[in-house]
Amino acid sequence: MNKPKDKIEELFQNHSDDFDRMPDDSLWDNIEAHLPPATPVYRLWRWGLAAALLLFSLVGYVAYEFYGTNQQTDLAGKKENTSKRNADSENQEAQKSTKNEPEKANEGLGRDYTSQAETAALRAGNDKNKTSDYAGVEEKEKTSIASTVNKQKLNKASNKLNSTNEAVVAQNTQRGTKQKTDKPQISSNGTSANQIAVENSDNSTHIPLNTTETSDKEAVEPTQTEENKRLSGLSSLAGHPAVFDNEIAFNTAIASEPEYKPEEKKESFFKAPSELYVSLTPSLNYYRVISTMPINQFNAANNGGRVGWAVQAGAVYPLKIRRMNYRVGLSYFSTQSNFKYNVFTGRQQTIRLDNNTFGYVNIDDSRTESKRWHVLEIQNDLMYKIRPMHDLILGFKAGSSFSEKPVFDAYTGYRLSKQVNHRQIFWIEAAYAYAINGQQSSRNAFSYHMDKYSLRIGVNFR
Amino acid sequence: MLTDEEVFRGCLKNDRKAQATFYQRYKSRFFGVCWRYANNKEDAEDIFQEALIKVFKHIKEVRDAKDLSAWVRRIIVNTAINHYRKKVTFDDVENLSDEVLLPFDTHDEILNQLTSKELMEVLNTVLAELPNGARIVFNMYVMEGYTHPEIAAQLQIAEGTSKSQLFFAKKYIQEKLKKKGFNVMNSVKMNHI
Repeated sequence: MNKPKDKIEELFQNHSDDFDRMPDDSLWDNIEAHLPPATPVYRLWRWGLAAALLLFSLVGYVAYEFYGTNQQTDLAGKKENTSKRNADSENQEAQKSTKNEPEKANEGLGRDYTSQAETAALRAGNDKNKTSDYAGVEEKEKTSIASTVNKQKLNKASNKLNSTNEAVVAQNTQRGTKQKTDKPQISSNGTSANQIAVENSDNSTHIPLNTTETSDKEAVEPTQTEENKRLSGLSSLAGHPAVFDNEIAFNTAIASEPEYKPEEKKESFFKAPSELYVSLTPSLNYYRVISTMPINQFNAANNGGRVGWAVQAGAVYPLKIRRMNYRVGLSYFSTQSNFKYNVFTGRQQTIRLDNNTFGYVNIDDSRTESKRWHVLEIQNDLMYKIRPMHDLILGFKAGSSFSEKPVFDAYTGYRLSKQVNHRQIFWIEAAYAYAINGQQSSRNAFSYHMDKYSLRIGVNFR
Repeated sequence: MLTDEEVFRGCLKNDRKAQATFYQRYKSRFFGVCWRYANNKEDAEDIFQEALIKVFKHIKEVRDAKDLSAWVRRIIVNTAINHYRKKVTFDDVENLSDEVLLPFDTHDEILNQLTSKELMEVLNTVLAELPNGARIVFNMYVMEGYTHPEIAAQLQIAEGTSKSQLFFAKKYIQEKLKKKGFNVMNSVKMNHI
């Protein structure tokens, strides 16, 4: 339902905006005092700038870390040395185990394949017959010894074992069938020594999984069955001889190599960037014309063509040289150049002189050229600290005006700095640069060279 | 310069710069609203300060920047009502019907002339001279667009009381204007904007 209106209502409603009044200036302070603490607003561009600077400094650091120094770490040497030490320590274990093995076997501990001597014997057999499957199984099932035992040591161990086994065989021969019938449990539990002895004496290795060279299968049939049971879970390795070919080599040559001495890490010439910087650089540009054609009345930089500007961002790296810093960054430079010039065409025109004689004058070809420059350069500066907050700068820039020819700048300047706070340093840098531009004028009449007088204003972030 | 949308977003994030911008940008408008409800500058500033603190603390309740202005006005009105709740008495005028208001429509000769900023100062003065109850009802009904039932509910008074307060306010304003010389016989030449 619409409200009934009268003129007073209309009057106030039509001028509701005219009731504006200004409060006291101090009122905001009172309001602000009652507001919750402000949270800083992080704008996207700040994050973007920070990310770009960080990325750039990281790239610079990594580049100089890897290409500017010769740091090498002999990881291979470390590895060999480590494996050698491990092998030595574990050889001792192998020797101990080998000594204890016959006792264990005779004690009937129930795990015939746990015998380290047996492992050694098998390895010895494998070396001879290149039947590494069984040794590979041992590698898997045995822990440290099987993986590190020195080959020579193992050979010794296996020789010892062979002699032991031979003795056992002799005893068995003497006992004859009585032993088999009286103590079958010994035969089952202690088969390893006997069988190995038999196998070694036959110069053949019993290979339950991948039998290639079993000379007397029937003689070892019962053992083969047991071994098959025992190793049935490892049959997946049967078709992979490379596994055993690549087992840790028992390379005696390594053992004779000199002791590894860690190489002292060379200190990098460059260190991590100490500061990041951004700067703005207005400049006055004076053109030096390197003409390839005869030019007359060259007029440059009218219509505001002298002024250019640039922005830079990058990182400052401290050098090992005292008081020296290295500044690297990207610089974007933009300016406008305008030229008017006359080129001698070589043609002449006849004119009448005052004394009614004729003369000749050269005919010029009047030309103009305007260019808008956008140059992206890499800036490299050496900064020498004359005294605190005073730096002398010498550097060069190289870049390209994107689609055109390269640009090179030689650069010198003097920087005055002021510490704003513990993280920020404000600085002003008066500089002179001489720029050589590979780009020629559109008619190839001259090349663009430039004297740049600039005043860089920037901030370094620590 | 921040747009209204950016200011709103900044205020949502409790950004002090955005809050200050909001204050600077709208202080005259919203303080004017406070002034209409208050009868002196001190009260207006108290209402304004309290209202703005509420605004910045609860601005997350606003979903769109376009709704912000109306929402702030509502906060200010509620703050003003609360400010005067204990000081307001509505018993100074008797209940009157809507028809009683009609004669005011016939006295529009004077009001036709009241179209300048200068005159708004006069109106402000007249408003400030109104009793608190009548001034609040007048503001709510005329300036904010509340209906009598809404005003009655908000102020916890009867609808008739709201109507009588409005009638009283209008009559009071008209009389005051006449006393200040704004009548047909003594017409003041005002420049139309």
